[in-house]
Amino acid sequence: MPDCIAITGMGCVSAAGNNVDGHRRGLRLRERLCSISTTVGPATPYPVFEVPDPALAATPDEMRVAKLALKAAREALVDAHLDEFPPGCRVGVFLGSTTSCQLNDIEFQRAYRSSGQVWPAPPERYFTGHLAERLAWQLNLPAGPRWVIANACASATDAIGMAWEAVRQELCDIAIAGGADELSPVSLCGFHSLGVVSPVPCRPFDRDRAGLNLGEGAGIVVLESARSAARRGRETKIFVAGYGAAGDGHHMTAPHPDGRGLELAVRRALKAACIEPADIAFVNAHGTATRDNDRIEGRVLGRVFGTGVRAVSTKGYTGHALGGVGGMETIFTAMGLAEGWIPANIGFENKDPDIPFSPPTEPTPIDGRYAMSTSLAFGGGNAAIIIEHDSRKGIPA
Amino acid sequence: MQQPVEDMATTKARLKELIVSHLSLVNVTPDQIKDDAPLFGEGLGLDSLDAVELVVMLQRHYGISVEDSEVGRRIFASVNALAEYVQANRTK
Amino acid sequence: MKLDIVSMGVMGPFGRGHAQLAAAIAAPVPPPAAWSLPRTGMIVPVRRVEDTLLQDPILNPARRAGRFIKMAMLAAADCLRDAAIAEPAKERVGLVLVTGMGAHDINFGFVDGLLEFGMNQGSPTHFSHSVHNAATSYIAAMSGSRGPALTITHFASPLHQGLDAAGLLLAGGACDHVMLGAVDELGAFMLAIYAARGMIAGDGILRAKALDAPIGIVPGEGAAFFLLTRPGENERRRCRIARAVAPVHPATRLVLDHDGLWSRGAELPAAARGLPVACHNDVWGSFPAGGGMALAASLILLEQTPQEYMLLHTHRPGVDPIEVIA
Repeated sequence: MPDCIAITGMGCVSAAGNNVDGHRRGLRLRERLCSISTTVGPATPYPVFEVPDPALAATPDEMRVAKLALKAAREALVDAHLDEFPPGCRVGVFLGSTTSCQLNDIEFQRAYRSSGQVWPAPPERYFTGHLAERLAWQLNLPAGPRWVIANACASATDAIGMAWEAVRQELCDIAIAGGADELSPVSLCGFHSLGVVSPVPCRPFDRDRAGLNLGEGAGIVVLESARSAARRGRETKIFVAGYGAAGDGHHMTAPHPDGRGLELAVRRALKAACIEPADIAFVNAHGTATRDNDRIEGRVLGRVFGTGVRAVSTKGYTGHALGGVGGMETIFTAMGLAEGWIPANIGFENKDPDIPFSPPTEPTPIDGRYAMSTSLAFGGGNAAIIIEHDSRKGIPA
Repeated sequence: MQQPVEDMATTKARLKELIVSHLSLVNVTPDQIKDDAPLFGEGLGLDSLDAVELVVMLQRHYGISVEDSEVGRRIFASVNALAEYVQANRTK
Repeated sequence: MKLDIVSMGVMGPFGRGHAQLAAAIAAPVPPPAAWSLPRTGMIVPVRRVEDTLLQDPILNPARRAGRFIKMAMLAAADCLRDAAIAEPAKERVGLVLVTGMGAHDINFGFVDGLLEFGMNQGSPTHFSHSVHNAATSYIAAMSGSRGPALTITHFASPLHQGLDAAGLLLAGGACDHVMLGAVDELGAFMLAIYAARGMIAGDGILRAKALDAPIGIVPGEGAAFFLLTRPGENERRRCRIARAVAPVHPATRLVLDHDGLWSRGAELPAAARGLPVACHNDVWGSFPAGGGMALAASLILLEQTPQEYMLLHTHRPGVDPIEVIA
């Protein structure tokens, strides 16, 4: 069918793995690879999920987040067999991010405060660091849209959803979509000031959860129509089937108590995919492990999908990678559907009486055609994306 | 227990100024805030973001750490409750 | 991509409201304001929104917000009021906000607090109000919108991306109306950064018509909001716009959006050659989201001569012109 939009490539880097394969292994083995950060203070150590590869450290001319994005994008393009693009092809880049959108450099600002000197390198790095423009330049991509979506924690999910719309409506032929963020001391101090960071590895949906852990990384997918993939000889069985987004219209830092925005986003995605809640085999939940998020999201998922819903948060493996995590979670959702399993919701031990379900504590086989990934953003934005696995649906190459 | 560096009336007045300035309250001057009026819910109508901001205000101006949201709920009930806590625990 | 503009709300150095913008476009340009940088005392010419304009009962729920959010809310409120959308439809209004630097002033303020008081004593209010999407959060609460809300950031041509995003949401059926806003604010540290990079036009004049000479910027700020619908769906529409890769109508006037940056490699489109030129960037100054002001100016000029076909050209490489017609 001409308007089936396929995921033809995936690339992912986080504390949980150096590539998609690494994540597959790490999630199966329930590996929890966090380190301790004393950025906020020696008396306030926090677990953080850091990408270990020293080659991805920031350099004077490039932010770390840009290196993470490039790594994942390269993997996705190789996976998609796109070492070159068909002639006349328009390629869009749609990336979610938070850390690349502000000039957050503590030492740079400290120097200015004390001496009035403006170091030249950090602003240069910032102004040449628009993630989508930079990635397109580094990969020498054909012309097309170059968006960075700054929607806080839902950025990457929104980026993939809008990329889906863009390909469907032929704003471009191929989209590179997802998100990236780096572990930023400013972000950690910010979430600490809100009192939502956990002093222990996070426990999504658990009765005793004490907040989030910050993480970093990038999750990027290649989207194109099934027809375009077939023309290139690329098999397709994973599709983006629907996307929905909605705002709470409530408060800057507190989600709406009834989760009305999330419920709307979920129902809009279902409608876009022309399916019912019963068709969803599992949900990769936002599940940050804050008291508020998990209670509200948990109730919405229970209300929409029933108390038997298979909902799992993977933030126990990756941490909350802010603008990048939606891309990772789309990939985990696609992987789970294609391979027939979902990972354990690591960190969960005891059911919360306020949350109507218990997530899986072991890798669990699933069988189904559709799955959903949800994201709830700081500021009340909500996004849901539906992935479809159907080996009959792809056009034979 | 710390010896108070100033009397209770002065502490209350200063707290009211800090509340108005830290929380950017509009249409309210410090002397309009009653000592025993609820700060959250009705009264001043402060919200959860104001609560964590007040925690930082206490750290910055009085050197007090409020670790517990239960403690927070109690001491932020009114200016009276807050002033007593400050006098008892301030390190600045 | 074709869209109808139903209503508009603007605020900037010229004041608040489209009558103010129209008056500013028609009048001689006043000298810029002088902003004295705190550390060095260097004077930077700027186009600045008057502080008194940022006091309005609409902003009471946003008491903790900075200029970026407040300007956005006021322009959005004016845009919505003009459109008079019925209550049930309000819920389905989508929001797209485009910006270059977002709420950078409060963002730098948050880091200042860390440096002043310690890493464990940052202000949660500053942090939460420093995110780019804080403005759409407040606008959604103010307007009752529960539609999708996107904040898109770009240093050069965010308006065009915003128009594309609005077009996708409308054509895809996610929304029946999209409010598109273009907002950027001034702030002391960012001005110091611009000055250190040698970007400022020292004489305070935005030589906006010198297309190929390197010129400096006069930093500005402002917010322009437009309520967009699918073509033909609202008879109260003020104009119709289209991406003019190949303009449908022969343009009669070029509205040139040229703010002193990004001109290297940019060319006037062929359809613009020989047209009378209207260029008013001096009125609002230089900022990434300034394309919104140029679009607002196009609308105002069109309403004065509705028989015209305006071509809005943002002088940046690789950006299509926009056709603006009645």
